[in-house]
Amino acid sequence: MTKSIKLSITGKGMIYVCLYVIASSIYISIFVKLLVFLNMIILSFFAIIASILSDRKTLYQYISVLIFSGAKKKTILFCTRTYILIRVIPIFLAYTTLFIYFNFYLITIITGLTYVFFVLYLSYPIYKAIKK
Amino acid sequence: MTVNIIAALISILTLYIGIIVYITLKYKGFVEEDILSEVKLISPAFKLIKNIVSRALLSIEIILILLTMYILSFTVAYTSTFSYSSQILDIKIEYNSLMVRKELVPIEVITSKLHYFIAEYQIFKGFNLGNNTYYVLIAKCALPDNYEENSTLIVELNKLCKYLSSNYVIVDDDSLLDKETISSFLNISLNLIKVDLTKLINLELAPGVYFVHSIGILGGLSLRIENPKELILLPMMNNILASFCPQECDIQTLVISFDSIEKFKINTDEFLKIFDYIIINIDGKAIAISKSFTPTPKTILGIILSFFISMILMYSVGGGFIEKMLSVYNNLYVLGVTKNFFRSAILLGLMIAFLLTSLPLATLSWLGYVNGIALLNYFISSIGFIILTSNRFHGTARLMYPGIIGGHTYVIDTFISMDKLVSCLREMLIDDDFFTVTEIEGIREERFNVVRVELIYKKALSTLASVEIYIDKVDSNVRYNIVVDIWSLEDSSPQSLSSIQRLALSKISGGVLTCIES
Repeated sequence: MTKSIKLSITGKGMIYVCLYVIASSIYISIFVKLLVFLNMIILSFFAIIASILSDRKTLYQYISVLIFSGAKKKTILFCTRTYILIRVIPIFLAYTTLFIYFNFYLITIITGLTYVFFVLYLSYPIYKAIKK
Repeated sequence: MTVNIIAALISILTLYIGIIVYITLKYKGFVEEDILSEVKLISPAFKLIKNIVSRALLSIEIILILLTMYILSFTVAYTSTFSYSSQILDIKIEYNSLMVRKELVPIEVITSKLHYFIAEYQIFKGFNLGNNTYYVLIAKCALPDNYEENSTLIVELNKLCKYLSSNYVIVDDDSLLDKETISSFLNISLNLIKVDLTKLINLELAPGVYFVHSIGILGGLSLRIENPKELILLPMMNNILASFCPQECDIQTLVISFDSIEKFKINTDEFLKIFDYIIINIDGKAIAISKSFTPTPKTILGIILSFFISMILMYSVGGGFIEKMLSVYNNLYVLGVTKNFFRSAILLGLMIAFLLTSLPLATLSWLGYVNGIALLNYFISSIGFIILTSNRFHGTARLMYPGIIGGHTYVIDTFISMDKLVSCLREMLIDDDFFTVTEIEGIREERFNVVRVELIYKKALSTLASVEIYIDKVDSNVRYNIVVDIWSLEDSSPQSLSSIQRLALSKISGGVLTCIES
């Protein structure tokens, strides 16, 4: 798990995620509209997928090592989820703060829930793709 | 608007039906009869571009980028706001507002909107009356009675309005036009008065805008009527415009208004719907407001930010796409494709792919569902991505070396005659477990000899290996270059074909070595 966190933070994709968070936060704070918020949430999913794709070699090696060393599916999924979760945290924190600041409480709750589902379910295709 | 939308929908529908009919006709019977298609010669460059376009459109990276660009374009279009473009003119004006339109504005429209004004119609068409050409200016005055005559403009206009209100035709002192000529031309009896129009000719209402006919400024020189003798001022009467312009003619409407400034400040939108541009006197400053829309600074900031966001996403996923392109390049390098050629192919391929994918957005923009900012944002982002990919490819693609192809080369100092080699190889392969020799022959060329062997793979139905052994001299040694080409009518995987190729190569190269040594 510690290895997952370390890999996730030190990966190149983390820089892209942070840059995305800064740019989109400025955008949201300039245009305070519900549709902009929703679009930015959709884009944040793309940003996370993009950041994982940019670090796919490292992730591939990491999970391959886990598979070869005989780790169970549960463990591998847990490690992948930790990896994705670290990437989601900056976006989640920034967006939640902004939405609460602009009094969009319902959107905040929905955003939180979608991120949880996103982290849980994105690990499956990644695991399957690497196992292939 | 509705007609436009219907026309657009019909044209799109026709296009789609056309494409479907074309595809149906082209591939008709392929599924049922499985007709073998004719061999067609396709240009390699076209095939390469087609390959890049199809790879680009099918890769997950590009799909992700396209989705990002579309979402951002819609967001930017949704948040964009516009304002009329305005400019502060560094002049002092003596009226409250000046409105110009390069077309005819009916006098009824002007009278319904304004109270105190001078409306004039400049007709840009010369009329031959007598032996001279004259330019007509039709004016209507509605000036306040108690207006202070403290400026040259007011003095001049008041003088003219007095005559025009009494239905006088005004011409210059030196004009040769007489009352009879103009009356017979218009079929109305009119009074004619001759005054000095030199001041009026030079009356500039705003930079480049004159009271008389002017078509703007060219190289610092204003293009307007220079000779007062050519000008005729006519009062606004029933059908007078129609008698000068029976059909359409080049006409400019100019209205100088003395109504309260507040009216123009509040109803700017309303006036800009009628006129091309208006000049308002606000606190002694002349402000020209044009009909053309410009995006607000906030919108421009939005475009920049969205470009930045899309570039971040493009940079992070672009690497994967470049890797895919590099694998294509590696294969093509063997065929002699240079780095710059492939780079230009990527540029063109991506441009075509992005242009094709911009069509839905362009259609929506054309139908008016999204504004032009969405298209602008899309194109800025796609140009950014194309440049980024091209540059990154240039940096990543190193000098490539050809990989192992189905061949082997020996350089040995012992020479064996071709006939001996052919018979030796035939003997060796006749009892082979994997291959049957169907043909073996020696060909003598001018500079080298070739031994050609056709082998059939026994374990498969129709898999053949064509082997060519090139024999030539290198200095005092002999070079044996063995090339194996494998082909099959079966649906074999590239891996299995490759292993058969290697097997054939090992048989032949082993045979050649044994024959030389024996």
